[in-house]
Amino acid sequence: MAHVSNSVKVDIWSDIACPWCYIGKRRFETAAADFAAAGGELEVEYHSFELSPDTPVDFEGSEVDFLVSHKRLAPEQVEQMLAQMTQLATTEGLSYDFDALQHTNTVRAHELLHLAKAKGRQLDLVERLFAAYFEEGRHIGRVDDLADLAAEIGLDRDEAVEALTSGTYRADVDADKDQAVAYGISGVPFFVIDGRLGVSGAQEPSVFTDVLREAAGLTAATS
Amino acid sequence: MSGPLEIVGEPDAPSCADGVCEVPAADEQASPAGPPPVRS
Repeated sequence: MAHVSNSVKVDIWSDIACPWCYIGKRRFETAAADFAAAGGELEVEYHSFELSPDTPVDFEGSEVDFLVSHKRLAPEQVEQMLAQMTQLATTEGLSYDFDALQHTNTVRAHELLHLAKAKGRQLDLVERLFAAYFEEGRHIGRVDDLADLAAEIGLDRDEAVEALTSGTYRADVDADKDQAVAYGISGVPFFVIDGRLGVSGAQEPSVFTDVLREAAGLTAATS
Repeated sequence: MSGPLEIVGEPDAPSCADGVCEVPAADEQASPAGPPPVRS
C-alpha cells in the first residue's frame, strides 16, 4: 500500500443533544491520541445534525417527559435507558445528569458552533456545549445562555448574541444537514474520513484507530 | 464533499436517530472491547 500522506481529515456529524455523540467524541479522542503518537496528523471539523428539530426551545419538563410525550416511550423504559446511558458515560469519564438536563432545541447551538468554527474555536465550543448540556444542566437553546457559554471559551459575547439573533449561520447549519442527507446519514455520531470512508456510531477507540491508520496509509488495508 | 461513502467499522455501534438513542443490553455492556471492525 502506498504511503502518500499521513494527514487525515475527519468530518463529524453530531448533535449536542446526543448522548452517544459525547461518548463517541471521547472514544474518538482516544484513537486520535494514538494516531498522533504514531505520526498521524488530524484535522477535525464538526457538522450540524438535529435529532429533534421539532423540540421547542423552552420545553417544559424532564428528559423522561420529553421521550415519553414526543417519542411515545413508556416512562419505565425511558428511566431504564437513561440509567444505562449514565452508567455507560461513566466508563468514559463523563458524569451525565439527566435529572438536571434541560431538553431544548439545538439549532442555535449549531449556529454558534459555526461562529466558533469561523473563529478557529469550534472544538473548544463542542466540548463546552456537551459538558454544559449533559453534566451541568445548563440551557443550550436560548441566545443569552449560549452567549454565556461562548464567552466562557473566549469568544466575544456580543458577537455571539448578534450572530444568533440575526441567524447569520443558519444557512451553514442547513448546508450541513443537506450534506448529511446526501451522504445517507440517518443517525449520529457519524464520522466521514477523508470524504470517502463512513463510520457510524460511538465505535470503540480501536475501530477509529484502525480506520485512521488505514486512511493515512500507516497500516495495510484490512480488506 | 460528495460521492458515496465506503462504510467501515463495527456495524452495530450505538447511535441516536430521530430523537431516540440505542442502549445496549446489560450483558452487552459487560463485554470488553467488542469484536474487530467489520466492513459492510
